[in-house]
Amino acid sequence: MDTLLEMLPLLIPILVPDAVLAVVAALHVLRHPHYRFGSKAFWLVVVVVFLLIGPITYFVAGKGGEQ
Amino acid sequence: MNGYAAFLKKELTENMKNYRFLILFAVFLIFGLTSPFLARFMPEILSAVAADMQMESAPVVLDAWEQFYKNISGVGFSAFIILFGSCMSGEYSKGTLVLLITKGLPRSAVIFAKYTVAAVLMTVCYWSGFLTAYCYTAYLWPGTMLSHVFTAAFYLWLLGFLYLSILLLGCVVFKQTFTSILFTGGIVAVISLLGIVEPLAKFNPFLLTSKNVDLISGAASVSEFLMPTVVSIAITIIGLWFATILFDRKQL
Repeated sequence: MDTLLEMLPLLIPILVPDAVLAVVAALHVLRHPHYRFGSKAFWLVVVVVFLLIGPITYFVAGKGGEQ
Repeated sequence: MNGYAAFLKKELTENMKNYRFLILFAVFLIFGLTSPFLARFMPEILSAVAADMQMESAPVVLDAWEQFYKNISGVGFSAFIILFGSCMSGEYSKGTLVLLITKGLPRSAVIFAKYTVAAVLMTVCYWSGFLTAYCYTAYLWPGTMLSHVFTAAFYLWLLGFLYLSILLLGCVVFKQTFTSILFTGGIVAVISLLGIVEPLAKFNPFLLTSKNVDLISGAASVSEFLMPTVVSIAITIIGLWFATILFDRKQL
């Protein structure tokens, strides 16, 4: 546990880009309610829970086309 | 040239708006950060997860770079190819190029603009990731200096241009995203397989990604990279040239 606390400040810079991506993707999910598949709730959970992989999956596969 | 500049601007805007740049930038940045971090703390993480597992030796700076090159050359470039695999297929399926070309935009301008934008984004993402890894490594292992760190990164960067050139060729030949990506993957696999053939191995561009760590550790010398670099640049130019020729004949 001590080592984990020791590592935490070093982990923060790694989590920042992850968090930025999650927030950008979550905002996109909320503002564009058209998806290739899945629902708003589904994508919100995916984007926020799966760091890095979630937002990438959303932008590559889940985002609906521009209308 | 005017058409090229206009199309270049359109491509740049497109890549900003469809989040391609954001995703790639984040991926490379995260790799730049996690590679040194994981290399440094792997023993602690292992002993926290499984108490009976022990690493034999303490992690060194070279481990960090090994991680970095493995991640970037594998997942990093794959992400690039997958995201840019749709750069032409979207235009084909929506028919957005037809109007521009009938209005006088040279076909070669389309290819060159697409390639320029992909190459510029790759360069920005790659070197940001590298600089992050460089600073983080320097922070985690203070006072250790390695030679050829930048040179090794430079060679992998050159290989990125080769991948993008093959990808663009695939995008011109095939109409669908998936087949273009498959084409790129196939060609890259062939190149890496040719690395096994002994007399050819010295010239194989694949050496640019397999020997970076050796270059940093001193097991390989810069002169070994000369021929693969020349071959890699040559294939990049030939690939682009083929792409423009084939695109000239392509029905949109």
